Amino acid sequence: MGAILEVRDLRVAYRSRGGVIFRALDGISFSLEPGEVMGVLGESGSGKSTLATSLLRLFHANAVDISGSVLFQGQDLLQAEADELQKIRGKLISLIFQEPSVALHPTLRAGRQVRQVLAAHGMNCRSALEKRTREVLGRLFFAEEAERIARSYPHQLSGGQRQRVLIAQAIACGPSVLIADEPTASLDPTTQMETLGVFRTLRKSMGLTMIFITHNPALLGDFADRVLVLYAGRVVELGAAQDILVSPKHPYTRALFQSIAPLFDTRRDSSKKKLPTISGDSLESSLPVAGCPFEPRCPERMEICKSREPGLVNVSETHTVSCFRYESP
Amino acid sequence: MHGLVRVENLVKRFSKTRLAGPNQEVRALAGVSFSILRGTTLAIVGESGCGKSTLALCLACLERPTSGKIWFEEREISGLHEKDRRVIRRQIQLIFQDPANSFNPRWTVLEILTEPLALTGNLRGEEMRSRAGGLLSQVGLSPDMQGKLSSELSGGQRQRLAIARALALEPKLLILDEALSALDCSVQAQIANLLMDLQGSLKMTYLFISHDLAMAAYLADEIAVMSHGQIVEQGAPEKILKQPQSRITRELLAAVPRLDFSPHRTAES
Repeated sequence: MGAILEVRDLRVAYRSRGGVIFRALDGISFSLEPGEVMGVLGESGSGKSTLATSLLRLFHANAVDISGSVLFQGQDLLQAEADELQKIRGKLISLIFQEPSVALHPTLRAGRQVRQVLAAHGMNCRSALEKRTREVLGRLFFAEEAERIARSYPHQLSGGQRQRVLIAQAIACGPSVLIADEPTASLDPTTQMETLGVFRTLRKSMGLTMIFITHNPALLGDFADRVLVLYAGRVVELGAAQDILVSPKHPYTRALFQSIAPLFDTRRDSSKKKLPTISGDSLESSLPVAGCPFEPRCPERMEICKSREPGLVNVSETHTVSCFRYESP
Repeated sequence: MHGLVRVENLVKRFSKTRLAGPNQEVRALAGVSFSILRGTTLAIVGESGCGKSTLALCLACLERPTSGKIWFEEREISGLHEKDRRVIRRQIQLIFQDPANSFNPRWTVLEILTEPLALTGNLRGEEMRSRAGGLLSQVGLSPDMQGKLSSELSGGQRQRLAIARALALEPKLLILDEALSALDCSVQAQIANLLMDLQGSLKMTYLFISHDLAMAAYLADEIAVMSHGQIVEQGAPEKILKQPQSRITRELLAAVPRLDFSPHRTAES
């Protein structure tokens, strides 16, 4: 099967007001098969949101040095004509943002905001618009609830309902690729689980290809097929979800997993035991000029890590890591 | 050990004004009682809208309860005059989810830290600066950060700064309202460890408000689960985790995302 989306050596940098260049994405490559769900794991500043928007060529005004390619069904979106790109955005590739309360228009009813997406992509018959909107909302809400939601303003909805309206907008035109940037980060744990369930159902019923971006590896467990771990704008680990979640190889991925409080670890069981942490931070100012970007924080650093950057190495057929530990001499 | 805080049958009602029809009444707290011993941590866990933040505001003397009593160091504080409440407020500090919103964006770290000192203390310039440096190192920030703006800090550093500012007045109770929720996993662990260190060295008392049952169990000596303005279950973390009694606790437990991985789940693709 051919890849539906292929990203090759994508680079994006931001210029800050002081003129300093910050490389948000520094040579990202991956490809997605149709129907595949890829989880992108990354913490603040790792470039995960830049990745989400870059795939649709939505760049911040201060983005500079954009290079590489994003091939969607063979067409390079970074080179495509603007009007052509507009036909793809929201129709064939949809993007769901993190904060549903900001992403929705505050003074328009939810139903109308879903209709707008359809209208923007050429549906202009009123009854067809009505019908499709009802259909889409019906997929995400109970039938008796859907009517009321369509007539509600965003502030009248709960966080989970707002997120579902955003999902409705994203799937209204029947896209083939869905990019979700921390879609559950601002939700309650129980609502978060419900929303994850929605994504799972949609994936099955619509055969969606998905990129699911999160900072919480625990959300990917029973959902993603493959996982890409992002650190300082680089792919540090990429492989089958099971490989990465069960036996992470990169020191960063391992440290990240260990820092999550285990559920049955109470303070009294483990009196004074501390959570393992990763020392330091990934602020741009603390990134090394040369060598592996994780080197200053890495518990397993070696001499070579300072001198040059490691490339991606295969540790198995489905699992690649960017670390000298796994490079054969 | 004495109870530092004791809350008895706390009720808080808000009235919701509507354009048409009678005003609606919302009961945010419907009779909450608990006490916290000195130097320990009580975690309040519940979903959005269960009343946990209202409870925080009542305790911090920022909101007056409709009825019920709050004792702080054996003194009833909910009915005090505004002037007396102001004195109590110094001893009970709040830390919110997103500290970025509670800092003046044009102030430097030094200005943020010295404001509470200037408002209450009688420290002079040089003393104040050295106290600020001391506070910074107490929370694991480097003292040469004093000249930075809060927007130049990372999320974890900002939360450390918020803790340092709260500690400036040497409070007895620290209320952490979802203080870890907005942070990345690895940073959450760092801040959680910092909180435990500070509790060890300063004998601080915490009220940890969160929807994350795993983190609550990790940090707290006791957990109270809230739902619809009431405490539905309270006990030691291990008891709550291993023998949850109420439906809401079981739901919260089931919703904690876990890293354990069962192979059958990905088989379908």
